[in-house]
Amino acid sequence: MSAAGHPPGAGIVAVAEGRLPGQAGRRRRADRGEHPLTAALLLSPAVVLVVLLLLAPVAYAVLIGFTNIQLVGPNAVNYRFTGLGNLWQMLRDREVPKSLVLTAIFVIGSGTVGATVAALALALACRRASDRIANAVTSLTIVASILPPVTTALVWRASTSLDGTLSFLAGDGTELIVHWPMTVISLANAWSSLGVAMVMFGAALRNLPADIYEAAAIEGASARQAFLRLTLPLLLPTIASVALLMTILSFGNVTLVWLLTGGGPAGATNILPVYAYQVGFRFYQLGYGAFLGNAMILMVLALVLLIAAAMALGRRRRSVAA
Amino acid sequence: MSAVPAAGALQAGRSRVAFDAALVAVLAVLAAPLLWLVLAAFDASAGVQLKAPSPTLDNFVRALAPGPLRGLLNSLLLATVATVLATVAAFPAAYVLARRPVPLKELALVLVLFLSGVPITVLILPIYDVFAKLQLLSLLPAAVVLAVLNIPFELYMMKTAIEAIPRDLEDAARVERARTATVLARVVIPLALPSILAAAIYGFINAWGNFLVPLILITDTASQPGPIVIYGFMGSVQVDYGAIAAYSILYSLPIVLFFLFCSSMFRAGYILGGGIRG
Repeated sequence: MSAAGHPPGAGIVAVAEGRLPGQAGRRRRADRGEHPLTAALLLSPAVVLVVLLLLAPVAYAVLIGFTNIQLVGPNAVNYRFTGLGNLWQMLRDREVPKSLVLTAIFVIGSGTVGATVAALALALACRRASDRIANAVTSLTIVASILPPVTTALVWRASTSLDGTLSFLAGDGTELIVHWPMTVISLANAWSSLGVAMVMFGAALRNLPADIYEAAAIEGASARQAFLRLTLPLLLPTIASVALLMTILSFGNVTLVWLLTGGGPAGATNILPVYAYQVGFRFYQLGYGAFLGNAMILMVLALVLLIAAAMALGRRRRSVAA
Repeated sequence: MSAVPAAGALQAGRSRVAFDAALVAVLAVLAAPLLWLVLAAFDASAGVQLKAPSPTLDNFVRALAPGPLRGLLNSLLLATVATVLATVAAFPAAYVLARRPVPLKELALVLVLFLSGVPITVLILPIYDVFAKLQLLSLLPAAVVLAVLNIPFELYMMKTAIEAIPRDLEDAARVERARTATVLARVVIPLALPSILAAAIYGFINAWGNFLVPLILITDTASQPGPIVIYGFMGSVQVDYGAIAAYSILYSLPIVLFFLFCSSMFRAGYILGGGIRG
């Protein structure tokens, strides 16, 4: 269709709307980006999937946390809104404080502190060692972190059973997984989390400016002084990010704990995500389990906001130092 | 190479040997569980101990029996469908979010972090409830769930990469009257290919290794993937360690192969989560 076929003035209107004159209404000017309809079309598969299968279940989980619905049983179909009834159940439940303590020990011990410190130490040591060995260590930790959780659970279960490698190292006749279950899950969790932390620390260490170390050497600073006064302070933002990332990942690492110990023996490793799962699928109390889930969502939210704040702080510090 | 130079060349050499020795010891301890796996898989009388194997390939023969073999094939189907779905859905969305002027980066990062931090047990209960009522407790719906779990991070990975592509190239294409589909196909996809592959690999690794989603959402034993098979063997009264080790090696092989062939992607942090940097 040529411009001559349009009514007068249509050309100006067309340009104002982003269409070039003389074209069918579909083309837009190069500086206008794509048509909102195209954008919506491109976004739709992801949006539909995420809304239906991620946001909706989370919303549903939040809602049924305030009901007394069961998986099977009298309240599976005839359930009702019970308000904060599950909150009272949670406060009266003697397993919950125990579970919270276990969760704190597990998450902070093997994640926030354990994996972070271990990864930092390894990353620093790798920079002082020869390339091939550093590569081997890094590769091993990366493989350990991408290995399927079932495989990790299998090798750790075997190694910490009676006569297993690690049980043997701990002392002949020790059965680590039965007598020291928290230690076992903490070690397994740290083992499988090292890879991510090492990659992040490796990158941060590579980005340290070399000139300040030269200046320090000229000033006669020892290696230890250089480390304590230069490296550590400069790494602080990365350490904070890694620590909080390890915290979040450890909190969500249900599968490994579940496969290794199932929360046992006798609830000795019943961290909150595992306990909530049992409440829902073993005791069939879907409503109460969902309420525990809501509590966990709040905990993760708090952690994530902490990470975001730490990273923002890190950026501000870096821009000040620059 | 090192940004932390020692005070003298001789001292650097000596400390290098010291660190090497220490790291080798650490390497041995870290690798011990995996070493057991490899040895037990080839051991005719495998137990939990770390010992020299009486060599045999019998364990692998048993690991490839029809039942367990079907588990591996189910895993392949599950992970492939999940990965293709996740990447195909996430890429166009990543493109739109990368090019729209709305400042979403901080919020997107926080959201992605949050979604990956919520324990899977929180999501699985309501999904199971709904799927049970809709009679969707089978392999393909489970694959869709796995895809959805990967979309946020894949989207974030690809969005970051697309943002790094200069707009001029796309603008040039549009000036030549290219439609969005052409711009995507001829300009964006070729340039963003490494990140698309990294995102797909990330998705595949996650979908392949996921245990709880198939456990809960797939009720038909014939459709259950590798992890469930291993879990079943782990729970037997008399655990056949040789066979289970062999099967685990076969099951973990794709992951290790990905690492070997794309190790640069892992080291650079793209797949592990290097997008989560300040």
